[in-house]
Amino acid sequence: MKYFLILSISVFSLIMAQDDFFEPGYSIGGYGELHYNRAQTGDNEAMTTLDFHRFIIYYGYNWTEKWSFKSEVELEHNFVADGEGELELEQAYVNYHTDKFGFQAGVILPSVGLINEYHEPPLFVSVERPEYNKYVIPTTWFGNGFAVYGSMSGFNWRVALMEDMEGEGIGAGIRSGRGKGYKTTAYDWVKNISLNYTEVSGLRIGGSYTMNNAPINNNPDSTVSFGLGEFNIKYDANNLYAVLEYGTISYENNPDGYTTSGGYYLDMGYNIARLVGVEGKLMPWLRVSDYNRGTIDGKVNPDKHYSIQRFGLTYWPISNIAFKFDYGTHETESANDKKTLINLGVGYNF
Amino acid sequence: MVWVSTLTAGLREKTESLIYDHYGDSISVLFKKIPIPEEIKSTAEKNAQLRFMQDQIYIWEISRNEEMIGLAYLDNVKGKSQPITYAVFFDNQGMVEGSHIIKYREPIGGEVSNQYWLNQFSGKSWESDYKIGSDIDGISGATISVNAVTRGIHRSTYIVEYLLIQKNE
Repeated sequence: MKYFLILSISVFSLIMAQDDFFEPGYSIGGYGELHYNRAQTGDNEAMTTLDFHRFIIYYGYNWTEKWSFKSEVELEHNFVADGEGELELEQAYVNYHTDKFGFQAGVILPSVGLINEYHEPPLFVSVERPEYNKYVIPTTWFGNGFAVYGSMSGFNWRVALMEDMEGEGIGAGIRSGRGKGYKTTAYDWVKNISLNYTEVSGLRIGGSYTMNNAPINNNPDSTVSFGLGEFNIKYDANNLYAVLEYGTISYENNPDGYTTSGGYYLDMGYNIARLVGVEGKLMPWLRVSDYNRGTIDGKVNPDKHYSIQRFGLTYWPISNIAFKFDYGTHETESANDKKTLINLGVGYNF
Repeated sequence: MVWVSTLTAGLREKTESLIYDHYGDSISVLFKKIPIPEEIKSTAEKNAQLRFMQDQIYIWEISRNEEMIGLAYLDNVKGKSQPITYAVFFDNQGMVEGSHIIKYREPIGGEVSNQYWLNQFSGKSWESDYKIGSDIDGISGATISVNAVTRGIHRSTYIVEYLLIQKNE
């Protein structure tokens, strides 16, 4: 039977040659999110904002099955002038892809945390991205560079080499050290390695390590060194939803004197759509988070240490659209008053 | 052209190897490339909410001892930017017995190839529900691929049901 199979393959290969499924062509996608935010500290007057936070257009072109180009352009806050709003080329790379491994070169994302690479609003429950994914992992972190990736037996690995961070921007975290692809240097290179496992239904478990000797004011002889290690786990199946991300950054020669920073957040939710007879997915959820942006030799700076409790209700009529509500408190260790936040949002991707 | 031939032969080789794994070695297979039957095409597209990318599909009629025991179906759906080639194995009543991703061409969303996820479709037919999140588990970070493959398999159930009815008439 096997010989017959091999014989038939060689015959049919001629017949099927004309039916190659791949066709060169472009593709378009995108995502966006509108936010209403109300924040009140103690008894002070509340501040409310209505913000079309992000608008992203994805554009790609496939030359062959293996060679393609992919890009994302982002407009933040719906307007760009006088230092307000942002227009960013968040991704733009040539991709070589095979079943076992691939290669990317251009403006790329490091694989760090759950949200940096998968940041479409329907993929996380809160209106705003978790603060962890802003001040511990500086999402969206993008820059010029190269990456190789591959998968084997449910394990997905990726190694990225990217532009240096800007040492002078590092301090209470590394967020302000992002070069964003703008006239960046490549003295030391950001080195990012990641591994995740996705072979169990609904479960994703992963981690990464990223390091760089970031030049201060583009001077390679004066650098800030950091190492960011993080672990993440997400379960989303059988109506259960749970996310845990934990990360820590260690520094040498941090301009603000910090030796470490980091923290975690934990989300737990349950899809009640069936219970209440609603189409789609309806999920009440709870978040607890604690993180700091600066610790010196084990002593955390109370001005930079935050505790967050938050609950919310998120509704996905279809998996590409999410309506979100959340309410919670944000507490700074050194402050007397808690901040209370109410957020409403709608997000989409296609 | 040799490259193209090798590629498409690879798809066929992989599918047929999976067919023998699934239905057993003691079968005979009859391969057909058929135009999508006009009588059922729009019903399938409407109910699965997905248009066909091409005008034809690939079918293997599976027989054992001269009796038809099943039907294998090969087609494509569009992922984020590239086609996803998938195969669905049916019994002779139009019930899904197995599903496979034959070729995935994107760097992201490849988790739809995982067999644990595809096994959710086993036992389903054109009459089943295919809602993602309740009937079919989603995959975080692979939303577009999950939608596409789910709809593609749902769509295939109508075509196969129609072909089996035609065959029995």
